Amino acid sequence: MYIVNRELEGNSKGYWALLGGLGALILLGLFAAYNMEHHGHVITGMNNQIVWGLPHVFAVFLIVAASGALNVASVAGVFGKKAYKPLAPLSALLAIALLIGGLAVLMLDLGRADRAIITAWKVNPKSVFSWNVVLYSGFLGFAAAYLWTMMDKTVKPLYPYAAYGAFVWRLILTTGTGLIFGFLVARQAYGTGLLALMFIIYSLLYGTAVYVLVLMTAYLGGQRPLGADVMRRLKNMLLIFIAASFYATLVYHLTNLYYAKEWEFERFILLDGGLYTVLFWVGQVIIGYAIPFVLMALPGTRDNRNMIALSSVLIVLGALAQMYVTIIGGQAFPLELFPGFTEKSSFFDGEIHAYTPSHWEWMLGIGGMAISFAMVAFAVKILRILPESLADEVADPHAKK
Amino acid sequence: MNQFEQYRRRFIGGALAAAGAALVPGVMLIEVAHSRAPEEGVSSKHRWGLLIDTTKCATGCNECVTACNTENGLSGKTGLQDSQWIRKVELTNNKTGATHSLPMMCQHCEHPPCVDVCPTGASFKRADGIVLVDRHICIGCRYCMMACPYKARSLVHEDLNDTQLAHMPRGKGCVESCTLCMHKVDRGDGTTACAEACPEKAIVFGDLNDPGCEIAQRLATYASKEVRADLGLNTGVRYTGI
Amino acid sequence: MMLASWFKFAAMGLMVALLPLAQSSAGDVPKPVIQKGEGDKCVEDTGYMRRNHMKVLNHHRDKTMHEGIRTKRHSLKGCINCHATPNAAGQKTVLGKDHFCQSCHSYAAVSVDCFQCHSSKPAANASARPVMPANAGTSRHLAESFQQPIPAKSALVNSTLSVKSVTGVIK
Repeated sequence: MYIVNRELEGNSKGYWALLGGLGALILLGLFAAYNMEHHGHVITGMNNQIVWGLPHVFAVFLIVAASGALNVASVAGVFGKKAYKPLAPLSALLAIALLIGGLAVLMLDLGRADRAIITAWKVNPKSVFSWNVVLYSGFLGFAAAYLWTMMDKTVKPLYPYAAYGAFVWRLILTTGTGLIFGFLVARQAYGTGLLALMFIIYSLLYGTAVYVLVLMTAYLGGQRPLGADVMRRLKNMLLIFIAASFYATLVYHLTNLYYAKEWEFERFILLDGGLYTVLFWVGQVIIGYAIPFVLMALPGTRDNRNMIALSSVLIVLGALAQMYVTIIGGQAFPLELFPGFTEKSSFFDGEIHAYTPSHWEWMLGIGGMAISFAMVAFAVKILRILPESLADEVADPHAKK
Repeated sequence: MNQFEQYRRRFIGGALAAAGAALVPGVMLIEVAHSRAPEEGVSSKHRWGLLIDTTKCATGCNECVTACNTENGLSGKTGLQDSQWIRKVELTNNKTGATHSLPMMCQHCEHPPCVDVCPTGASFKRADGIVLVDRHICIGCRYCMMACPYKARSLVHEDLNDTQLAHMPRGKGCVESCTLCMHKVDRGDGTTACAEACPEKAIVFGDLNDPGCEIAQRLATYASKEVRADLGLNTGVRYTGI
Repeated sequence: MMLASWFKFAAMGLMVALLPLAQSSAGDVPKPVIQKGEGDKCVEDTGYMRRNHMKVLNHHRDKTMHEGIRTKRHSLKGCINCHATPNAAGQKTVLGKDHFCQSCHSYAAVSVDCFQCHSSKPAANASARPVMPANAGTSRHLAESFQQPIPAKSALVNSTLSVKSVTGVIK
């Protein structure tokens, strides 16, 4: 049966409330950015010990999820699974929106945000951040081209190029994002190429989870049918990605535990790091991996779409916890300048570094997420992104017609 | 030999000694005092560095830190968000309990991780080895602060309200660190504020490329170490006694 | 969409009525006050400076920053040293109403980014800078080796080792 994409119709109060709420969050985020620029980072909780804080947790999450959100479209375009084709336009749109939200937070948090534009011509070929300027803009271009080839019949011949190009570009981009940390040789938490691969695997999980939530919200709000077959396919993907993420995390920590020089750091994260230990075990592992996996695997709950939605929410919470442990936990643990010695100085050498996020950082981070979701909410209403129906008769290629 | 001849010999000897004592510094200084002409750029002919003798460094002494703060217009405060270009680190051996003390600042590496990661090239290494932040193009991303193995860099978190010194511009939102007193080096002072201020003369400044220089001679004579030598950064700041 | 003719006439009439306001708006912005700086003339002529000072400053700053070239002619400190004029508190500066840089920049509505980092006050004279305290290591050691009073700040600082050994040989 032919699938028709149509703009989300209706002018329900709920829709305007959603846009209004997201708009308010965006304004709060911009207000926070203004204050941070005007007064300096002194008003935030970030300091000379924890230089990247909560805004970066949100920003890196959004960027990693953006890359993963494109996965649903890649499964159709690159791996040829026809059942995912109707889901592809939303996937490309979501990828663009999440990336823009993440970049907005990163750029607004800069100490001299007014100078951000010079990164366009002052390029350091050795710097991952410089690569990222090209990678992120290129990704937006590819995803936009991909979306265009999906929506405009006249450029259909370019569809495979856009699909493959976006797929490869996405892998390079996520590698670059992981290497932001992977290239930092000096810190116990970083300095490993593993981080590039971990981020690719995490991106698949986080992106698909966000996709599920956006899809379900859109179809619920737009009162369009969403069949069990689509949900089942997405759920199965999430199960695989949870297993892969857990595996990646396991390899990272097990390898670290093997090296005597990493014991102190692993002890900090896994055992006595206070907030970081709680966020790792309870946040990342239990809430982010274990509970969603069980919910989506057990026969009683795996076909219940509320459970799938709940699992996706838990995965997103686990993602934020993972980013917090990676980014902030990695900075909280002090640099080891003199192995075998206890260090003490006025610059907080040798101590676990304290960090309490200020409300400005919450506002900025959440504002970035609001930018992404507002963009999606707006786009599905004016563009033909969403299929009229994803009911089983329509979407499932094996359904009895 | 009569008295007059003895007197003459002593006189000539003394005159020669006085002439020598007056001349020798001048002869030595022809190398040291040949500061570059202002229109000449820096070159890799020199590589400026420090040698710190930690056996002379006293726990509780902060002369180098105070001198650096005064020289560069830093507040001297040590809160979480305050800039510290140099700090005294007190070390205690975990096994033996032996303690010692040393100053830690930007190590002016030959292969600086901070230069590799800077997206705009604001963090750069001058031809004479001094690693600096070009605050005209620093966007305040703090990636260099993440990358530095020595935690040498600080972000200026708040407006400085025109309290900067004329020779040391620093501004809100940009990252900064020890400049090896490049303004003094360029002027021909031949030293840094911390080296000048140390009462035990534990810090020696000099040209690592000049074998005649005190620092090069000491490095060739005494065992010295780089902090975190395992990273292979070939730092310009070396330590003895650790 | 066709505009009703009455509307077109009303719009034109309004624009004509407001025209005098547009012409006199220049009078609302105070003309820059250019106070005389030190010396009899600038390092370049006024026309050149007005057009090119930003190019000069940008080019020179890169040379200073990256190559350590500190010629005085186009240095920012040089500009400030001459052009800073005293404010109400008696402090010489180039910022503030009617002071050199600020005055023209406010008129042209171009923000001046330099003084976020650079001091707007003239540099204290280098030779007037107080010598490091008398117990500063280098000067003290040098004085001991010569049995002389502590020398004024000079370039004798790094030759202690070589001087000691050489004079020891002569004596």
